[in-house]
Amino acid sequence: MISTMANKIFKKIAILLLWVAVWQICSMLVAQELLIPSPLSTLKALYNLAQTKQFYISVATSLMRICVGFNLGVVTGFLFGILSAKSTLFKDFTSPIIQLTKAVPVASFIILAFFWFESNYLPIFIAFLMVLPIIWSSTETALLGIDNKYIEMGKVFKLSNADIFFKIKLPLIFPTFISSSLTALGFAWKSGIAAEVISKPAASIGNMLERSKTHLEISEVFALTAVVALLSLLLEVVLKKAFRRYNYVKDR
Amino acid sequence: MLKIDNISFAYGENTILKDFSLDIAQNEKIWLYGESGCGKTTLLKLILGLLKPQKGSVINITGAKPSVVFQEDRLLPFKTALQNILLVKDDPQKAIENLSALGLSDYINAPVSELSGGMCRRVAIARALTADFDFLVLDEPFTGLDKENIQKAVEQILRVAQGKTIILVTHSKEEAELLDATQIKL
Repeated sequence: MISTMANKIFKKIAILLLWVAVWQICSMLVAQELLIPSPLSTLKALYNLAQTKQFYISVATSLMRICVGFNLGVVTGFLFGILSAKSTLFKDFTSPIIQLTKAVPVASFIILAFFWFESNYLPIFIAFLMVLPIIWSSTETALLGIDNKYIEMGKVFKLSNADIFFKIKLPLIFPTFISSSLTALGFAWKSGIAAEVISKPAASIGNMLERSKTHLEISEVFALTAVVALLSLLLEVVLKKAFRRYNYVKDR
Repeated sequence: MLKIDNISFAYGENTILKDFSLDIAQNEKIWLYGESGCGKTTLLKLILGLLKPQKGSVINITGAKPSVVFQEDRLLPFKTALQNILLVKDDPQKAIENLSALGLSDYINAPVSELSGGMCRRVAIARALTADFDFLVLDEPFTGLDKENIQKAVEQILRVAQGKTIILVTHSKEEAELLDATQIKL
């Protein structure tokens, strides 16, 4: 078992190194640090950034903003998904909102919301807006897709409606909820950072990205992008671990 | 206890039951049999109130409480064997007794998603026996069980359902005889 795990880790490291090599080759071929900085100069830029207090404050604040937006989106989307599955009237009334949030490009929302919100709140709103329709749709679809045999079982054994909902329906849709939350997390993170780039809140990764771009510090842009990607990956791993016990697959 | 009065039921154009009547008394054991598709499971669903007859009525005269072993186990995959039973009746002692009598004492806290088909079947039987009931509906209850486990299940059913009504659907005459059930052809 240990050797299988070691093999897996070794394979992952090998793949990573291979891609870093590809990056290095591209950088050497282009031969302009301004266009594609080498892995080493990106690492140096990251090291320099990591020496500043501002970097940590920005990362923490961005993380906090996006997590707030994500959580608001998850809670609202979940409740709206339940209501949509319960009431056709609610579903018909609110379906334009889902259609709109799905169809309108995130950039348009960012620019519009830029006029409505203070720069600190814009990324929260955008993250919320990206998460909302994903969780909403998936919750509704999962609830409507529950196999009726479980509901019949609850009815025959005289379970209350509340028990059928909380003890049968909700746990049954949990795996779908987890996987849509993971997808939504990626969207929240990317769109939240994009919103920060446009709204430029004082302490934010987006603002640092924008500043690096203005000063043509491309290696810093690469380094910050790597930080964003790593944090996204880290959040996903944390969420996956937190919900691992609910990820059953076998049904009978 | 149960009066099935001249009921008819059809799925679209396909008539499954036509003008069927049956009186089921307390403490009676009946075995509903017939060819596949003749309406045995539909009749059970009508008795359990999961379907409404298009004609006639099913009257639960005494307000008797049902319990059931469905044709499929209908166990929640994210719960353990014990949790699946406690969902319908919060009586851990009775649940453990039934699980143990069915040879599952080592699997009480095992998630049902990790149990074999035959084990899940026995958990479903234990669940039905733990619930409070006046009549027990058994729809192909012993599917996937070997002779030894069928014997254990029959003994426990007869013990727990003593003095209560049993409505059995099975293709096996042997199983019906083990439960000493009266034949009724559909």
